[in-house]
Amino acid sequence: MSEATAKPELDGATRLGLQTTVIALSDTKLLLGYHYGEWTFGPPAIEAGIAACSMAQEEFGHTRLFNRILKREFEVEIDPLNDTRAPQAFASIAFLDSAFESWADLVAANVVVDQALPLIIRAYIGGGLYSIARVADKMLLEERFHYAHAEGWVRLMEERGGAPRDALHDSLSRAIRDTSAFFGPPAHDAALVTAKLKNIDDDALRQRLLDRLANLLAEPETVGLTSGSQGWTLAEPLEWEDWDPARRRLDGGGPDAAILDELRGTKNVAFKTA
Amino acid sequence: MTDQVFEVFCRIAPGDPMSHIGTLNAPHIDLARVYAWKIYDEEDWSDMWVIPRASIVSAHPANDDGAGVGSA
Repeated sequence: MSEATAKPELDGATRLGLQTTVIALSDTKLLLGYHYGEWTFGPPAIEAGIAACSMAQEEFGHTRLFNRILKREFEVEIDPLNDTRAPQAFASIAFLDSAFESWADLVAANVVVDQALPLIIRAYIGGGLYSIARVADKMLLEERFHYAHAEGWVRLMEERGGAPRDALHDSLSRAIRDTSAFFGPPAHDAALVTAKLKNIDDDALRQRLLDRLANLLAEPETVGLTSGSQGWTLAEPLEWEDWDPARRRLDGGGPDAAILDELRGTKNVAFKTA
Repeated sequence: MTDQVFEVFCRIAPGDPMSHIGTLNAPHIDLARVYAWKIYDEEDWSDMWVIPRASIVSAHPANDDGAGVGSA
């Protein structure tokens, strides 16, 4: 990688598509880190709380890396502590908008959201945005443990059956729909693929994610998936008319204000040192 | 599936003896691997093993009833 600091020459629309993708990765990892941190206390095992806390630190670290890329490559500055964006400006996956009701929500975020983001990141390795490729190795190494944690818990809850499995299936259904929306309508990222910034489009990545999730479950139909000629798809397809490409969402919502206040340290602003 | 006890062993440099650094509870070996790495990551380990306590067998003649350490 001899041109490690080179900025690819891109037209305005392609460059904007890349920028919004990096913002979406950063925002989603910020919210994912928040929820992992939230479950440092209250998980079903002390060991799981320590793992959640560790994953929170890693997600916050990844957010920082993406924010550095935004500043260096796109002259966009996001400082989580001084971020004044409204909730409706965030480009995070909707499943992360509110406090998690139970451990099932955390496992669903762990296995769906946290598996979707590395798929997207990996697609940019070897592409023209060298700054992503440069940080991807360490990030993806850490993500391997996130996935091992997620897979371990899904397997456990599937085997146990009963109420824990039902709760997991309910959480998975919501996480899968919201994360499928994050990948966007077919061909929305065609310009990025044509420009060779990524080696696979988001539609194929979504398919890969759904197939992997289906393989983990005894009855994928219970989480809203159906088997077709191309693999597993949503039984109720998403309607894309209202999809917002800047936010990669179908709805107009955003993270709860209380969550953003905690991430920004709003209650303790008087103690800020800078 | 109930939790099992796992023993965690590490070494800092290749060739060093493995040292016992702690224990953890997990329902199966896959989660035990994740927990071991997340809980005991304070050093830059070159190697980490996680072993179900029930799989450890005593070699001491005083314990020659064949029982594993974990089941003693």
